[in-house]
Amino acid sequence: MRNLGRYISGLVWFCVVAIVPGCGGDEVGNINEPEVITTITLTATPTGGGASIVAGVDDPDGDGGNPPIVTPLVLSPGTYDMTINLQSKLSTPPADITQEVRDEGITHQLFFTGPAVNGPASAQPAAPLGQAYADADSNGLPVGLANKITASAGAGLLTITLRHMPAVNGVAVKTAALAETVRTMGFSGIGGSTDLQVNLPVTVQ
Amino acid sequence: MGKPFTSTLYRAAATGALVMVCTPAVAQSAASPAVLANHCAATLDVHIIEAFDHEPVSAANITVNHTFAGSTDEHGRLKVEGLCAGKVMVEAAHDAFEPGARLITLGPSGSVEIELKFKVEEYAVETKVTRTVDMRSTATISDEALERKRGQSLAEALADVPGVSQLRSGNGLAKPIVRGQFGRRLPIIVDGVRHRAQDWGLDHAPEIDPAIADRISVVRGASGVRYGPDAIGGVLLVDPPDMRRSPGVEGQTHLVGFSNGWGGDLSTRVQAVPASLPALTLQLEGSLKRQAAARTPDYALDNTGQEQWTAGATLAYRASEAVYQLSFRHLAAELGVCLCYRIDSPSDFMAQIQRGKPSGFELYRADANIERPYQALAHDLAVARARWTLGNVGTLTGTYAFQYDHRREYALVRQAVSGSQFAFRLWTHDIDLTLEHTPVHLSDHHHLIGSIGVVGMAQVHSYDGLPLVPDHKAGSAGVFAAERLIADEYELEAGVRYDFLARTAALDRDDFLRLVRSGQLLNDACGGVTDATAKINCSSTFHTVSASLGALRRFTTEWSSKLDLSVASRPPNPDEQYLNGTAPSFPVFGLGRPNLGAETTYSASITATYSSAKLAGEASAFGNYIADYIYFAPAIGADGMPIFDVLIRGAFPRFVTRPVDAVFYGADGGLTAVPLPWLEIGAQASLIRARNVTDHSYLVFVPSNNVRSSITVKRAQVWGMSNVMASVAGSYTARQSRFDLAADLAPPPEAYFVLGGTIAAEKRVGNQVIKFALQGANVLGRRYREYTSLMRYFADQPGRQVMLRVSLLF
Repeated sequence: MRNLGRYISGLVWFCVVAIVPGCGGDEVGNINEPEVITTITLTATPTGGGASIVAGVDDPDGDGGNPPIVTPLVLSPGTYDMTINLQSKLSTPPADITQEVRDEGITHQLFFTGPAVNGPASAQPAAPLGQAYADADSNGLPVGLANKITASAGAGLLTITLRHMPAVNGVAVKTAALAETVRTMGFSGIGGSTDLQVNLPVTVQ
Repeated sequence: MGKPFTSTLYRAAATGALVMVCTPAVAQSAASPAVLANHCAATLDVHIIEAFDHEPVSAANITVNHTFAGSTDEHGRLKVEGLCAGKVMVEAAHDAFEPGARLITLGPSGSVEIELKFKVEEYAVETKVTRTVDMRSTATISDEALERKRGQSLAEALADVPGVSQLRSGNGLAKPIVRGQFGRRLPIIVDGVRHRAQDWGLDHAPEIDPAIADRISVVRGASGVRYGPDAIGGVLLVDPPDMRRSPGVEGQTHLVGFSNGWGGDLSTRVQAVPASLPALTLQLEGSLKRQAAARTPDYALDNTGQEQWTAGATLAYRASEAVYQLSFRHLAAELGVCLCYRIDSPSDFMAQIQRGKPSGFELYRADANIERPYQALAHDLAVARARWTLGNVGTLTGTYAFQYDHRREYALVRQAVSGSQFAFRLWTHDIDLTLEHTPVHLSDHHHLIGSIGVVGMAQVHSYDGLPLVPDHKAGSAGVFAAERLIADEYELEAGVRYDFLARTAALDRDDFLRLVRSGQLLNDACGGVTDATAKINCSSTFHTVSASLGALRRFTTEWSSKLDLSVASRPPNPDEQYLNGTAPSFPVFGLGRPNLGAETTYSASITATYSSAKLAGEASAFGNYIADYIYFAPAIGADGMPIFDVLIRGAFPRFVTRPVDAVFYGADGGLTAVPLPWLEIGAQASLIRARNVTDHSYLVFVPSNNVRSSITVKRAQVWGMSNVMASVAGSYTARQSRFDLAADLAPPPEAYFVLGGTIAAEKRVGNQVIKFALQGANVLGRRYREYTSLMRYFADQPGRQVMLRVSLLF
């Protein structure tokens, strides 16, 4: 019966192909897989010089399947310049999305929250990391692709959230002091939607 | 706006019975009997029908023993009294038909049915399907009731039918729910052809413009024998108008304006039969709709505007023994998705539920712009149908249909990203060959009608976009037979059907591996991964059997009851087998189960109908047991806790399809009373209970208890306008107290009451009738959320709506 099924399905398939013109997959090819971020990389460079430390979350097969690979952030006490790189590994070669986010900085912002960080979006004075934005979009508001980090001994979880906040009816949704709003009200206090949200263990020793 | 359809409904049902059935008891009330001066006491019921499709023939002149006895009434009936028992010759004559005669032996009383054949030059064969009384509970909206729904979506058009509710996904976008079943379990038949589209998505409203319909029927209960194995919840029949047969032109145009979701809808339809070629009918139809975003009482539902146009043409040619019909319909639409939807991450979603109002609603506007996120749809339906009269054998109807469904969904993405994020294309060929045999007259009171048929389907699905569903190819074939015994006071029906479905899904390597890693698929399934780029072909075949037994009993002229026992098996849809990705309507990570089998429903329903001049009503109770009901619900791990998948956007609850056993039961019904000629009072209620008996939990999106009632006042003439009516209708929907928070994601909203009203009148200008109507929905501007709406997590339902309709019939 199984063979019969195959035979019928093959026959039917043949008929369909013979009858349907152009059902090969022609004009719909403009799907942009790179729009999905699969990988976030943090690069922390000591301000006084020295080797960069890399951490991040990598989910090369996209949603589902293998869980994302988490590389914890392990720092020594000190100050760092920390940059964020975003990629989509669903396309070959991987597509760099960092520049896109920077170009559309007026609708994007990264937020650093969680017990491991004290900064504009997180009120944790005893946290091992102190974070300050070190970049700005064309309106002078932070994007968060470049940051100043102060590390002191301790450990905890850092949550990094990339928020996409397109203007609604021409009115900007990304406004000043959003990080402070997140600090007091959480993400439900601001508009837009979450493009990325990862948890990263942090150890400073 | 609860009631108005009901009277039409029961009228239609009653007419249906008269058309098909020799039922002297029913007919007698229609016309006063003709009395022949024979001074005997025998009576004879004469029934005259068309030989082709058994429609009654009115105004046929009847002679009995060569004496003129009278003419048949609108039901094709004449009762003749004062006859003497013995041999009686009955003859029927009508201008449009060949004369017919029957010689019978008459006792104290008797009945005779004479079939008349159309005169060849009349080209009078009709293409419409014979309408027998369905053994399930059915409701039909047509004529005025349907006119009242012009400009609205299919689900809205049916929303007033008892037992029907809507699974809403946006302003006016909704899927009809019949007795708790929708989408994949509720096929929609358009012009006799199964609508083939992406009906699995909760937010995929059917790509059907009800403007094409002249009648829309809801059949409640498993209808697998005639409509295919997936009709386990029932079926919706969208029937275009019958084709005009006499030379001339007729048509109708409806213009509807909306205040909430500012905009309008223009639809028109014209039928023409040329005098030089009266065998030919041409129908052209089209509609155009543009609506801005809707508003709730407090804020706008930004980006819920819509744009839709349709066009269609039908050509029918009637030969002496056959009818040929060719039609093509196209629908294109762009539907905005509310900006208030927050489904990108579970934390955003849950935060939104807490907020009560959408984030940033202060910036929302009810404008007509359609921006991302939105859906773009196109649907083509081409139907070629022929109906042949095969001498005394019966009529053979052959239908071939081709459908192309193209759905693109555009997410809110970075500006650098163009194109759609989900694009589905579906090509389907359907064939259906049905033979309705000539009625077998077992006696004057017992007739057998029935049909046998074969169906076939071939389908190709092509998907591009973010991981979600695979491409597939499918083919199916089925064979069915149904017979009905019609007697004066009862009818019995039995039907059986067998279907075979073969489907091959082509999974991308990554999608395949994802199913393997999550334990849904063995890693050597479907031949496993052979190389890095080739797709993995997973084949499955299903053999399903559907069967039904039905009975109808007419107790008196007014009372009748129906019983239906059905079993139907539905094979899983490709999404249920292979879904793979974050669901487009919920922040959950969905996974299918490739080795799912068919689900089988065992359904029973009993319906009681009462119909008299002053009171019409129908009540129906049903129970369905669905074995291996394919349920999409949270995945539970070995520790008994829900499983979460960590994605780059946070932790998503994992939902999987799995077979459970489910029961659905309940009752629904409606009553229309006409205590005074100008007053009509309607009431209806529906109650549905559904449980997952495997896990002892409640199923999601099961409509809560609902009652509606209405009062209509009618006047024949007011200020030079005719057929003036005013109606007020209220609908109360209880809170759904039976829910499963794990699968529902948020508790059900509160109960609500909404009030609607209609004022309508018409004016005759020359040969044309112009109809006006002013309709209001949620006229009190109530703030409410609906349990069966995807919008309930994010925003309120639209507030007050006022519609103005002008219809021109010519």
